[in-house]
Amino acid sequence: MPIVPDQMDSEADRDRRHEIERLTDEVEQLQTSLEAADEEATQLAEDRNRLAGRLATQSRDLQVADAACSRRDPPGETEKELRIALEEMQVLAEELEVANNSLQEANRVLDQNVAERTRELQQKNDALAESESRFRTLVEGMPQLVWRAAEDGAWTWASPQWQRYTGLDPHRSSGMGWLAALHPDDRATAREAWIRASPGTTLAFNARIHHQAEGRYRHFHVRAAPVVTGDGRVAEWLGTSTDVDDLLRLQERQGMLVAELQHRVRNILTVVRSVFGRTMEAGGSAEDLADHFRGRLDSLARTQVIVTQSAAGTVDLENLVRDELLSVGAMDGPSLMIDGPPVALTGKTAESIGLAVHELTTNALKYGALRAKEGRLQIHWTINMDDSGTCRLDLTWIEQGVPAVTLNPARKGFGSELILNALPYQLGAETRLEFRGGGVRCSISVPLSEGARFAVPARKDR
Amino acid sequence: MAQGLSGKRILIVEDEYFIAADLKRAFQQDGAIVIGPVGDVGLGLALAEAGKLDAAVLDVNLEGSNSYPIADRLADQAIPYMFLTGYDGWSLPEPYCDAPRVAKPFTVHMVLAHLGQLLGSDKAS
Repeated sequence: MPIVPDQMDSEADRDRRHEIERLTDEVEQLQTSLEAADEEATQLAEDRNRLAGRLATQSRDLQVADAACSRRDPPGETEKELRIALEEMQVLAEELEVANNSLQEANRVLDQNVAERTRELQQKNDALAESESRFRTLVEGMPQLVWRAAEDGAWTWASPQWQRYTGLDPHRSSGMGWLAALHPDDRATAREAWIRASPGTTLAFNARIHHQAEGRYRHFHVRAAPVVTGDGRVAEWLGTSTDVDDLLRLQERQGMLVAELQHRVRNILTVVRSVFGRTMEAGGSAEDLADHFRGRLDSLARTQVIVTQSAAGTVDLENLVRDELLSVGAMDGPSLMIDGPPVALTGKTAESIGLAVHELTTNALKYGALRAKEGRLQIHWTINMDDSGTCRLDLTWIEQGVPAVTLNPARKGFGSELILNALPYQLGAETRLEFRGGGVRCSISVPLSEGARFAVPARKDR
Repeated sequence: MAQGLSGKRILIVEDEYFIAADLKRAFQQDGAIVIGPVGDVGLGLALAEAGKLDAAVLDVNLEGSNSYPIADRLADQAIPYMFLTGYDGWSLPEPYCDAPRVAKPFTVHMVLAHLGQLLGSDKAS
Protein backbone atom coordinates (compact mmCIF):
# COMPACT_ATOMS: atom_id res chain seq x y z
CA MET A 1 0.00 0.00 0.00
CA PRO A 2 2.68 2.63 0.75
CA ILE A 3 3.82 4.37 -2.38
CA VAL A 4 7.06 5.81 -1.12
CA PRO A 5 10.03 3.48 -1.82
CA ASP A 6 11.07 1.52 1.25
CA GLN A 7 14.71 2.48 1.29
CA MET A 8 13.82 6.14 1.47
CA ASP A 9 11.52 5.85 4.58
CA SER A 10 11.17 8.95 6.62
CA GLU A 11 9.66 9.50 10.02
CA ALA A 12 6.58 11.03 8.42
CA ASP A 13 6.05 7.85 6.41
CA ARG A 14 6.41 5.72 9.51
CA ASP A 15 3.83 7.81 11.32
CA ARG A 16 1.36 7.31 8.53
CA ARG A 17 1.96 3.56 8.48
CA HIS A 18 1.42 3.34 12.26
CA GLU A 19 -1.90 5.09 11.86
CA ILE A 20 -2.98 2.58 9.21
CA GLU A 21 -1.86 -0.36 11.39
CA ARG A 22 -3.74 0.99 14.36
CA LEU A 23 -6.97 1.29 12.39
CA THR A 24 -6.46 -2.20 10.92
CA ASP A 25 -6.11 -3.60 14.46
CA GLU A 26 -9.31 -1.88 15.52
CA VAL A 27 -11.19 -3.45 12.63
CA GLU A 28 -9.88 -6.90 13.55
CA GLN A 29 -10.96 -6.40 17.13
CA LEU A 30 -14.44 -5.38 16.06
CA GLN A 31 -14.66 -8.44 13.83
CA THR A 32 -13.64 -10.65 16.72
CA SER A 33 -16.35 -9.04 18.88
CA LEU A 34 -18.84 -9.64 16.09
CA GLU A 35 -17.90 -13.31 15.89
CA ALA A 36 -18.27 -13.63 19.70
CA ALA A 37 -21.66 -11.93 19.54
CA ASP A 38 -22.65 -14.30 16.72
CA GLU A 39 -21.74 -17.28 18.92
CA GLU A 40 -23.77 -15.85 21.78
CA ALA A 41 -26.73 -15.42 19.47
CA THR A 42 -26.43 -19.01 18.29
CA GLN A 43 -26.24 -20.11 21.93
CA LEU A 44 -29.31 -18.10 22.89
CA ALA A 45 -31.17 -19.48 19.86
CA GLU A 46 -30.37 -23.00 21.03
CA ASP A 47 -31.55 -22.16 24.56
CA ARG A 48 -34.76 -20.75 23.15
CA ASN A 49 -35.34 -23.90 21.08
CA ARG A 50 -34.72 -26.01 24.13
CA LEU A 51 -37.15 -23.95 26.22
CA ALA A 52 -39.69 -24.05 23.40
CA GLY A 53 -39.27 -27.81 23.34
CA ARG A 54 -39.79 -28.02 27.09
CA LEU A 55 -42.76 -25.72 26.79
CA ALA A 56 -44.30 -28.03 24.22
CA THR A 57 -43.54 -31.07 26.39
CA GLN A 58 -44.93 -29.39 29.50
CA SER A 59 -47.99 -28.29 27.56
CA ARG A 60 -48.62 -31.86 26.50
CA ASP A 61 -48.06 -33.15 30.05
CA LEU A 62 -50.39 -30.46 31.29
CA GLN A 63 -53.13 -31.52 28.85
CA VAL A 64 -52.72 -35.14 29.89
CA ALA A 65 -52.79 -34.15 33.54
CA ASP A 66 -55.79 -31.95 32.91
CA ALA A 67 -57.65 -34.74 31.20
CA ALA A 68 -56.73 -37.05 34.07
CA CYS A 69 -57.66 -34.36 36.59
CA SER A 70 -61.05 -33.54 35.12
CA ARG A 71 -61.96 -37.27 35.46
CA ARG A 72 -60.78 -37.60 39.01
CA ASP A 73 -60.15 -34.41 41.02
CA PRO A 74 -62.28 -31.33 41.66
CA PRO A 75 -61.12 -28.50 39.27
CA GLY A 76 -60.02 -25.96 41.94
CA GLU A 77 -56.38 -26.55 43.11
CA THR A 78 -54.95 -28.29 40.05
CA GLU A 79 -56.40 -25.68 37.70
CA LYS A 80 -54.91 -22.84 39.73
CA GLU A 81 -51.50 -24.51 39.66
CA LEU A 82 -51.82 -25.03 35.92
CA ARG A 83 -52.75 -21.42 35.28
CA ILE A 84 -49.78 -20.18 37.31
CA ALA A 85 -47.41 -22.48 35.43
CA LEU A 86 -48.84 -21.28 32.10
CA GLU A 87 -48.45 -17.64 33.11
CA GLU A 88 -44.84 -18.24 34.14
CA MET A 89 -44.21 -19.84 30.79
CA GLN A 90 -45.64 -16.85 28.97
CA VAL A 91 -43.40 -14.47 30.95
CA LEU A 92 -40.39 -16.59 30.06
CA ALA A 93 -41.35 -16.49 26.37
CA GLU A 94 -41.68 -12.70 26.45
CA GLU A 95 -38.31 -12.30 28.17
CA LEU A 96 -36.78 -14.50 25.51
CA GLU A 97 -38.21 -12.32 22.76
CA VAL A 98 -36.82 -9.13 24.40
CA ALA A 99 -33.42 -10.77 24.70
CA ASN A 100 -33.60 -11.69 20.99
CA ASN A 101 -34.40 -8.09 20.02
CA SER A 102 -31.54 -6.72 22.11
CA LEU A 103 -29.16 -9.11 20.47
CA GLN A 104 -30.28 -8.12 16.98
CA GLU A 105 -29.91 -4.45 17.90
CA ALA A 106 -26.37 -5.03 19.23
CA ASN A 107 -25.46 -6.83 16.02
CA ARG A 108 -26.75 -3.98 13.89
CA VAL A 109 -24.77 -1.36 15.83
CA LEU A 110 -21.64 -3.48 15.57
CA ASP A 111 -22.03 -3.80 11.80
CA GLN A 112 -22.45 -0.05 11.53
CA ASN A 113 -19.29 0.64 13.55
CA VAL A 114 -17.25 -1.71 11.43
CA ALA A 115 -18.56 -0.16 8.22
CA GLU A 116 -17.74 3.32 9.52
CA ARG A 117 -14.21 2.43 10.59
CA THR A 118 -13.57 0.77 7.24
CA ARG A 119 -14.78 3.88 5.40
CA GLU A 120 -12.56 6.07 7.54
CA LEU A 121 -9.58 3.89 6.82
CA GLN A 122 -10.27 3.99 3.08
CA GLN A 123 -10.59 7.78 3.12
CA LYS A 124 -7.30 8.20 4.90
CA ASN A 125 -5.61 5.93 2.40
CA ASP A 126 -7.06 7.86 -0.52
CA ALA A 127 -5.99 11.17 0.98
CA LEU A 128 -2.53 9.81 1.51
CA ALA A 129 -2.33 8.52 -2.07
CA GLU A 130 -3.49 11.88 -3.41
CA SER A 131 -1.04 13.79 -1.28
CA GLU A 132 1.84 11.58 -2.40
CA SER A 133 0.77 11.97 -6.01
CA ARG A 134 0.57 15.73 -5.68
CA PHE A 135 3.98 15.84 -4.07
CA ARG A 136 5.51 13.80 -6.86
CA THR A 137 3.91 15.86 -9.60
CA LEU A 138 5.13 19.05 -8.00
CA VAL A 139 8.62 17.80 -7.38
CA GLU A 140 9.09 16.25 -10.79
CA GLY A 141 7.74 19.32 -12.57
CA MET A 142 9.93 21.84 -10.75
CA PRO A 143 13.22 22.91 -12.27
CA GLN A 144 14.75 23.02 -8.80
CA LEU A 145 16.50 19.98 -7.38
CA VAL A 146 14.35 18.81 -4.47
CA TRP A 147 15.47 16.65 -1.58
CA ARG A 148 14.49 15.55 1.93
CA ALA A 149 16.77 15.27 4.90
CA ALA A 150 16.79 14.45 8.60
CA GLU A 151 17.66 17.08 11.20
CA ASP A 152 21.41 16.65 10.88
CA GLY A 153 21.45 17.04 7.10
CA ALA A 154 21.44 13.32 6.28
CA TRP A 155 19.46 12.98 3.08
CA THR A 156 16.59 10.51 2.99
CA TRP A 157 15.34 11.19 -0.53
CA ALA A 158 16.41 13.00 -3.71
CA SER A 159 14.25 13.94 -6.71
CA PRO A 160 14.88 12.35 -10.13
CA GLN A 161 16.17 15.72 -11.30
CA TRP A 162 18.98 15.58 -8.75
CA GLN A 163 20.12 12.23 -10.06
CA ARG A 164 19.92 13.37 -13.68
CA TYR A 165 21.79 16.58 -12.89
CA THR A 166 24.60 15.30 -10.70
CA GLY A 167 24.82 11.68 -11.82
CA LEU A 168 24.58 10.60 -8.15
CA ASP A 169 21.90 7.95 -7.60
CA PRO A 170 19.60 8.14 -4.54
CA HIS A 171 21.57 5.52 -2.66
CA ARG A 172 24.87 7.36 -3.01
CA SER A 173 23.22 10.69 -2.23
CA SER A 174 21.67 9.40 1.01
CA GLY A 175 23.13 10.26 4.38
CA MET A 176 25.92 12.79 3.77
CA GLY A 177 26.71 11.30 0.36
CA TRP A 178 25.19 14.31 -1.41
CA LEU A 179 28.25 16.37 -0.40
CA ALA A 180 30.14 14.55 -3.14
CA ALA A 181 28.22 16.56 -5.75
CA LEU A 182 29.35 19.85 -4.21
CA HIS A 183 32.56 21.64 -5.08
CA PRO A 184 35.23 20.55 -2.57
CA ASP A 185 35.71 24.15 -1.39
CA ASP A 186 32.01 24.54 -0.66
CA ARG A 187 31.49 21.39 1.41
CA ALA A 188 32.56 23.05 4.66
CA THR A 189 30.01 25.83 4.08
CA ALA A 190 27.29 23.22 3.60
CA ARG A 191 28.22 21.28 6.74
CA GLU A 192 28.33 24.46 8.84
CA ALA A 193 24.93 25.54 7.58
CA TRP A 194 23.45 22.20 8.73
CA ILE A 195 25.13 22.51 12.13
CA ARG A 196 23.56 25.93 12.59
CA ALA A 197 20.12 24.83 11.33
CA SER A 198 17.31 24.82 13.88
CA PRO A 199 13.48 24.67 13.67
CA GLY A 200 13.06 28.42 14.04
CA THR A 201 15.26 29.23 11.06
CA THR A 202 15.44 28.40 7.37
CA LEU A 203 18.55 26.65 6.16
CA ALA A 204 20.18 28.66 3.35
CA PHE A 205 23.60 28.70 1.75
CA ASN A 206 25.30 29.02 -1.65
CA ALA A 207 27.43 26.31 -3.18
CA ARG A 208 28.69 25.05 -6.49
CA ILE A 209 27.19 21.78 -7.66
CA HIS A 210 28.66 19.58 -10.35
CA HIS A 211 26.61 19.35 -13.54
CA GLN A 212 27.41 15.97 -15.01
CA ALA A 213 26.20 16.79 -18.55
CA GLU A 214 28.37 19.90 -18.82
CA GLY A 215 31.23 18.51 -16.80
CA ARG A 216 31.55 21.66 -14.73
CA TYR A 217 30.37 23.23 -11.50
CA ARG A 218 27.49 25.70 -11.51
CA HIS A 219 26.47 28.11 -8.75
CA PHE A 220 23.42 27.09 -6.70
CA HIS A 221 21.34 28.62 -3.95
CA VAL A 222 20.33 25.93 -1.45
CA ARG A 223 17.37 26.33 0.91
CA ALA A 224 15.49 24.01 3.25
CA ALA A 225 12.58 24.40 5.65
CA PRO A 226 11.59 22.15 8.55
CA VAL A 227 8.39 20.07 8.23
CA VAL A 228 6.76 20.35 11.66
CA THR A 229 4.21 17.76 12.89
CA GLY A 230 1.02 18.48 14.83
CA ASP A 231 2.75 18.11 18.15
CA GLY A 232 5.53 20.56 17.31
CA ARG A 233 8.23 18.03 16.42
CA VAL A 234 10.43 18.46 13.33
CA ALA A 235 9.65 15.43 11.20
CA GLU A 236 12.14 16.24 8.47
CA TRP A 237 13.66 19.03 6.34
CA LEU A 238 12.42 19.64 2.82
CA GLY A 239 14.95 21.36 0.59
CA THR A 240 15.46 22.84 -2.89
CA SER A 241 18.64 23.67 -4.74
CA THR A 242 18.19 26.37 -7.39
CA ASP A 243 20.56 27.02 -10.27
CA VAL A 244 21.66 30.68 -10.03
CA ASP A 245 24.70 30.36 -12.27
CA ASP A 246 23.25 32.28 -15.23
CA LEU A 247 21.88 34.93 -12.90
CA LEU A 248 25.27 35.38 -11.28
CA ARG A 249 27.04 35.69 -14.60
CA LEU A 250 24.49 38.16 -15.87
CA GLN A 251 24.92 40.24 -12.74
CA GLU A 252 28.68 40.18 -13.17
CA ARG A 253 28.33 41.17 -16.79
CA GLN A 254 25.92 43.92 -15.89
CA GLY A 255 28.37 45.26 -13.32
CA MET A 256 31.07 45.27 -15.94
CA LEU A 257 28.87 46.99 -18.50
CA VAL A 258 27.89 49.71 -16.06
CA ALA A 259 31.52 50.37 -15.18
CA GLU A 260 32.42 50.33 -18.88
CA LEU A 261 29.69 52.77 -19.72
CA GLN A 262 30.75 55.08 -16.94
CA HIS A 263 34.30 54.97 -18.18
CA ARG A 264 33.31 55.72 -21.76
CA VAL A 265 31.12 58.64 -20.82
CA ARG A 266 33.75 60.23 -18.63
CA ASN A 267 36.38 59.71 -21.28
CA ILE A 268 34.43 61.27 -24.09
CA LEU A 269 33.60 64.27 -21.91
CA THR A 270 37.30 64.69 -21.20
CA VAL A 271 38.08 64.58 -24.90
CA VAL A 272 35.39 67.17 -25.56
CA ARG A 273 36.87 69.46 -22.93
CA SER A 274 40.27 69.01 -24.49
CA VAL A 275 39.04 69.72 -28.00
CA PHE A 276 37.18 72.74 -26.70
CA GLY A 277 40.31 74.01 -25.00
CA ARG A 278 42.29 73.76 -28.19
CA THR A 279 39.57 75.34 -30.25
CA MET A 280 39.53 78.31 -27.89
CA GLU A 281 43.30 78.59 -27.96
CA ALA A 282 43.25 78.86 -31.75
CA GLY A 283 41.29 82.07 -31.34
CA GLY A 284 39.21 83.79 -33.92
CA SER A 285 35.82 85.42 -33.77
CA ALA A 286 33.18 84.07 -31.44
CA GLU A 287 31.32 82.79 -34.48
CA ASP A 288 34.41 80.99 -35.77
CA LEU A 289 35.00 79.41 -32.39
CA ALA A 290 31.39 78.29 -32.14
CA ASP A 291 31.54 76.94 -35.68
CA HIS A 292 34.74 74.98 -35.21
CA PHE A 293 33.75 73.58 -31.89
CA ARG A 294 30.28 72.64 -32.97
CA GLY A 295 31.65 70.85 -36.01
CA ARG A 296 34.10 68.84 -33.94
CA LEU A 297 31.48 68.05 -31.37
CA ASP A 298 29.16 66.82 -34.15
CA SER A 299 31.90 64.59 -35.49
CA LEU A 300 32.53 63.06 -32.09
CA ALA A 301 28.80 62.63 -31.57
CA ARG A 302 28.44 60.86 -34.91
CA THR A 303 31.08 58.27 -34.13
CA GLN A 304 29.79 57.78 -30.58
CA VAL A 305 26.24 57.16 -31.75
CA ILE A 306 27.27 54.62 -34.37
CA VAL A 307 29.73 52.87 -32.07
CA THR A 308 27.17 52.42 -29.33
CA GLN A 309 24.41 51.46 -31.78
CA SER A 310 26.06 48.49 -33.42
CA ALA A 311 26.17 45.36 -31.32
CA ALA A 312 29.82 44.84 -32.15
CA GLY A 313 30.49 48.52 -31.51
CA THR A 314 31.88 49.15 -34.97
CA VAL A 315 31.62 51.84 -37.63
CA ASP A 316 31.77 51.16 -41.34
CA LEU A 317 34.54 53.36 -42.78
CA GLU A 318 32.69 54.27 -45.95
CA ASN A 319 29.63 55.31 -43.95
CA LEU A 320 31.86 57.36 -41.69
CA VAL A 321 33.47 59.20 -44.60
CA ARG A 322 30.20 59.75 -46.47
CA ASP A 323 28.48 61.02 -43.31
CA GLU A 324 31.17 63.60 -42.75
CA LEU A 325 30.98 64.80 -46.34
CA LEU A 326 27.21 64.77 -46.29
CA SER A 327 27.20 66.94 -43.20
CA VAL A 328 28.75 69.69 -45.30
CA GLY A 329 26.58 68.93 -48.28
CA ALA A 330 29.17 67.18 -50.42
CA MET A 331 28.02 64.22 -52.47
CA ASP A 332 29.43 61.81 -55.01
CA GLY A 333 30.00 63.19 -58.43
CA PRO A 334 32.74 63.93 -60.92
CA SER A 335 34.49 66.09 -58.35
CA LEU A 336 34.20 63.65 -55.46
CA MET A 337 35.30 60.03 -55.45
CA ILE A 338 35.10 57.79 -52.44
CA ASP A 339 36.30 54.25 -52.86
CA GLY A 340 37.68 51.31 -50.87
CA PRO A 341 36.87 47.79 -49.54
CA PRO A 342 34.42 47.31 -46.67
CA VAL A 343 36.08 47.92 -43.28
CA ALA A 344 34.40 48.04 -39.87
CA LEU A 345 36.38 50.09 -37.36
CA THR A 346 36.13 49.86 -33.61
CA GLY A 347 36.21 52.33 -30.73
CA LYS A 348 39.19 54.60 -30.56
CA THR A 349 40.15 54.03 -34.22
CA ALA A 350 36.69 54.99 -35.41
CA GLU A 351 36.62 58.06 -33.23
CA SER A 352 40.06 59.30 -34.25
CA ILE A 353 39.67 58.65 -37.96
CA GLY A 354 36.24 60.24 -37.81
CA LEU A 355 37.64 63.36 -36.26
CA ALA A 356 40.51 63.43 -38.78
CA VAL A 357 38.13 63.10 -41.72
CA HIS A 358 36.05 65.87 -40.18
CA GLU A 359 39.02 68.19 -40.01
CA LEU A 360 40.04 67.42 -43.58
CA THR A 361 36.48 67.96 -44.78
CA THR A 362 36.03 71.29 -43.03
CA ASN A 363 39.37 72.44 -44.34
CA ALA A 364 38.46 71.36 -47.88
CA LEU A 365 35.16 73.13 -47.56
CA LYS A 366 36.66 76.40 -46.40
CA TYR A 367 39.82 76.50 -48.47
CA GLY A 368 40.14 73.43 -50.62
CA ALA A 369 38.58 71.13 -53.17
CA LEU A 370 35.05 71.35 -51.85
CA ARG A 371 35.11 75.10 -52.36
CA ALA A 372 37.09 75.65 -55.54
CA LYS A 373 35.10 75.44 -58.76
CA GLU A 374 37.62 73.17 -60.40
CA GLY A 375 38.36 71.31 -57.23
CA ARG A 376 38.41 67.51 -57.16
CA LEU A 377 38.62 65.28 -54.12
CA GLN A 378 39.66 61.64 -54.09
CA ILE A 379 39.34 59.56 -50.97
CA HIS A 380 40.71 56.07 -51.37
CA TRP A 381 41.71 53.26 -49.05
CA THR A 382 43.10 49.75 -49.15
CA ILE A 383 44.02 47.06 -46.66
CA ASN A 384 47.56 45.78 -46.65
CA MET A 385 49.61 43.43 -44.60
CA ASP A 386 52.90 44.81 -43.40
CA ASP A 387 56.12 42.86 -42.92
CA SER A 388 55.25 41.85 -39.38
CA GLY A 389 51.94 40.35 -40.52
CA THR A 390 49.78 43.17 -39.15
CA CYS A 391 46.88 44.30 -41.30
CA ARG A 392 46.83 48.02 -41.87
CA LEU A 393 44.29 50.39 -43.30
CA ASP A 394 45.98 52.77 -45.78
CA LEU A 395 43.81 55.79 -46.49
CA THR A 396 44.67 58.68 -48.79
CA TRP A 397 42.96 62.01 -49.18
CA ILE A 398 43.94 63.93 -52.31
CA GLU A 399 42.66 67.34 -53.29
CA GLN A 400 43.36 68.69 -56.75
CA GLY A 401 42.51 71.74 -58.77
CA VAL A 402 42.71 74.14 -55.87
CA PRO A 403 44.24 77.57 -56.40
CA ALA A 404 46.86 78.78 -53.96
CA VAL A 405 45.28 80.42 -50.91
CA THR A 406 46.74 81.88 -47.71
CA LEU A 407 46.26 79.35 -44.96
CA ASN A 408 44.47 80.12 -41.73
CA PRO A 409 46.96 79.06 -39.05
CA ALA A 410 44.14 78.40 -36.61
CA ARG A 411 42.56 75.93 -39.00
CA LYS A 412 45.86 74.23 -39.55
CA GLY A 413 46.53 73.93 -35.83
CA PHE A 414 44.04 71.45 -34.48
CA GLY A 415 43.65 69.29 -37.57
CA SER A 416 47.40 69.06 -38.08
CA GLU A 417 48.01 68.21 -34.47
CA LEU A 418 45.36 65.55 -34.67
CA ILE A 419 46.66 63.93 -37.82
CA LEU A 420 50.38 64.33 -37.22
CA ASN A 421 50.51 63.74 -33.45
CA ALA A 422 47.32 62.27 -32.03
CA LEU A 423 46.81 59.48 -34.57
CA PRO A 424 50.35 58.12 -34.18
CA TYR A 425 50.15 58.44 -30.38
CA GLN A 426 46.78 56.84 -29.97
CA LEU A 427 46.64 54.34 -32.80
CA GLY A 428 50.23 53.69 -33.72
CA ALA A 429 49.42 55.26 -37.09
CA GLU A 430 51.84 56.57 -39.68
CA THR A 431 50.64 59.82 -41.14
CA ARG A 432 51.65 62.44 -43.69
CA LEU A 433 50.12 65.81 -44.30
CA GLU A 434 50.99 68.20 -47.08
CA PHE A 435 49.35 71.49 -47.72
CA ARG A 436 49.35 72.33 -51.40
CA GLY A 437 47.95 75.77 -51.66
CA GLY A 438 44.52 75.55 -50.12
CA GLY A 439 44.22 71.88 -50.88
CA VAL A 440 45.61 69.02 -48.89
CA ARG A 441 47.25 65.69 -49.51
CA CYS A 442 47.04 63.37 -46.57
CA SER A 443 47.87 59.72 -45.97
CA ILE A 444 47.01 57.73 -42.88
CA SER A 445 48.18 54.17 -42.25
CA VAL A 446 46.54 52.56 -39.21
CA PRO A 447 47.03 49.07 -37.83
CA LEU A 448 43.65 47.36 -37.59
CA SER A 449 42.73 46.14 -34.11
CA GLU A 450 41.22 42.80 -33.10
CA GLY A 451 37.67 44.04 -33.16
CA ALA A 452 37.82 45.47 -36.66
CA ARG A 453 36.26 43.49 -39.49
CA PHE A 454 37.68 43.41 -42.96
CA ALA A 455 38.78 41.07 -45.71
CA VAL A 456 42.32 39.96 -44.93
CA PRO A 457 44.55 40.53 -47.94
CA ALA A 458 46.79 37.79 -49.29
CA ARG A 459 50.38 38.03 -48.17
CA LYS A 460 52.48 39.73 -50.78
CA ASP A 461 54.95 37.36 -52.39
CA ARG A 462 58.52 38.37 -51.75
CA MET B 1 52.18 77.90 -7.50
CA ALA B 2 54.54 78.80 -10.35
CA GLN B 3 57.47 76.45 -10.70
CA GLY B 4 55.96 74.27 -7.95
CA LEU B 5 57.15 71.14 -9.73
CA SER B 6 60.51 72.62 -10.54
CA GLY B 7 62.92 69.98 -11.74
CA LYS B 8 60.66 67.11 -10.77
CA ARG B 9 60.59 64.15 -13.11
CA ILE B 10 56.99 63.15 -13.68
CA LEU B 11 55.87 60.14 -15.70
CA ILE B 12 52.62 60.48 -17.65
CA VAL B 13 50.80 57.36 -18.79
CA GLU B 14 47.63 58.28 -20.67
CA ASP B 15 46.34 56.84 -23.93
CA GLU B 16 44.17 59.81 -24.94
CA TYR B 17 46.48 62.10 -26.88
CA PHE B 18 44.85 65.44 -26.12
CA ILE B 19 44.66 64.75 -22.39
CA ALA B 20 48.28 63.62 -22.35
CA ALA B 21 49.37 66.68 -24.30
CA ASP B 22 47.42 69.02 -21.98
CA LEU B 23 49.01 67.45 -18.90
CA LYS B 24 52.46 67.59 -20.42
CA ARG B 25 52.09 71.23 -21.24
CA ALA B 26 50.74 72.09 -17.79
CA PHE B 27 53.50 70.15 -15.97
CA GLN B 28 56.19 71.73 -18.11
CA GLN B 29 54.76 75.18 -17.45
CA ASP B 30 55.12 74.38 -13.77
CA GLY B 31 58.76 73.51 -14.28
CA ALA B 32 58.55 69.74 -14.33
CA ILE B 33 60.47 67.40 -16.57
CA VAL B 34 57.92 65.18 -18.25
CA ILE B 35 58.82 61.54 -18.85
CA GLY B 36 56.64 60.33 -21.72
CA PRO B 37 53.77 60.72 -22.18
CA VAL B 38 53.06 57.17 -23.31
CA GLY B 39 49.75 55.44 -23.90
CA ASP B 40 50.89 51.85 -23.63
CA VAL B 41 51.41 49.61 -20.57
CA GLY B 42 54.60 48.13 -21.95
CA LEU B 43 56.20 51.47 -22.62
CA GLY B 44 54.97 52.77 -19.26
CA LEU B 45 56.54 49.82 -17.41
CA ALA B 46 59.82 50.35 -19.19
CA LEU B 47 59.89 54.00 -18.16
CA ALA B 48 58.87 53.15 -14.59
CA GLU B 49 61.68 50.67 -14.33
CA ALA B 50 64.22 53.03 -15.84
CA GLY B 51 63.80 54.82 -12.54
CA LYS B 52 64.77 58.33 -11.51
CA LEU B 53 61.13 59.35 -11.22
CA ASP B 54 59.73 61.68 -8.59
CA ALA B 55 56.08 60.94 -9.26
CA ALA B 56 53.70 59.51 -11.86
CA VAL B 57 50.24 60.19 -13.21
CA LEU B 58 48.52 57.03 -14.49
CA ASP B 59 45.37 56.63 -16.51
CA VAL B 60 43.75 53.55 -15.01
CA ASN B 61 42.24 52.31 -18.21
CA LEU B 62 44.52 52.09 -21.20
CA GLU B 63 43.03 50.85 -24.45
CA GLY B 64 42.56 47.12 -23.84
CA SER B 65 44.44 46.93 -20.52
CA ASN B 66 45.04 48.78 -17.26
CA SER B 67 47.97 50.51 -15.60
CA TYR B 68 48.01 48.50 -12.37
CA PRO B 69 51.29 46.72 -13.23
CA ILE B 70 52.92 50.12 -13.54
CA ALA B 71 51.43 51.20 -10.17
CA ASP B 72 52.85 48.05 -8.58
CA ARG B 73 56.27 48.68 -10.06
CA LEU B 74 56.25 52.26 -8.79
CA ALA B 75 55.10 51.16 -5.33
CA ASP B 76 58.03 48.75 -5.22
CA GLN B 77 60.36 51.71 -5.68
CA ALA B 78 58.37 53.91 -3.26
CA ILE B 79 57.60 56.35 -6.08
CA PRO B 80 54.32 58.15 -5.37
CA TYR B 81 51.63 58.02 -8.07
CA MET B 82 48.07 59.06 -8.70
CA PHE B 83 45.32 57.68 -10.93
CA LEU B 84 43.26 59.37 -13.58
CA THR B 85 40.08 57.44 -13.80
CA GLY B 86 36.83 57.23 -15.67
CA TYR B 87 35.47 54.90 -13.00
CA ASP B 88 34.09 55.59 -9.54
CA GLY B 89 36.18 54.44 -6.60
CA TRP B 90 34.02 51.40 -6.05
CA SER B 91 35.06 49.71 -9.23
CA LEU B 92 38.79 49.91 -8.63
CA PRO B 93 40.18 46.63 -7.28
CA GLU B 94 41.13 46.22 -3.63
CA PRO B 95 44.82 47.19 -3.57
CA TYR B 96 44.20 50.35 -5.59
CA CYS B 97 40.95 51.79 -4.37
CA ASP B 98 42.70 53.90 -1.74
CA ALA B 99 45.31 55.40 -4.06
CA PRO B 100 45.06 59.16 -4.73
CA ARG B 101 42.96 59.69 -7.81
CA VAL B 102 41.26 62.29 -9.93
CA ALA B 103 38.11 61.51 -11.85
CA LYS B 104 37.59 62.44 -15.47
CA PRO B 105 36.75 64.94 -16.70
CA PHE B 106 39.26 66.85 -14.59
CA THR B 107 40.88 70.24 -14.67
CA VAL B 108 44.61 70.45 -14.93
CA HIS B 109 44.58 72.47 -11.72
CA MET B 110 43.11 69.51 -9.85
CA VAL B 111 45.89 67.28 -11.13
CA LEU B 112 48.56 69.78 -10.24
CA ALA B 113 47.16 70.20 -6.75
CA HIS B 114 47.14 66.44 -6.15
CA LEU B 115 50.61 66.14 -7.59
CA GLY B 116 51.83 68.86 -5.28
CA GLN B 117 50.42 66.94 -2.33
CA LEU B 118 52.00 63.71 -3.50
CA LEU B 119 55.40 65.32 -3.73
CA GLY B 120 54.90 67.40 -0.60
CA SER B 121 54.04 64.39 1.55
CA ASP B 122 56.97 62.56 0.04
CA LYS B 123 59.28 65.33 1.15
CA ALA B 124 57.82 65.28 4.64
CA SER B 125 58.55 61.54 5.07
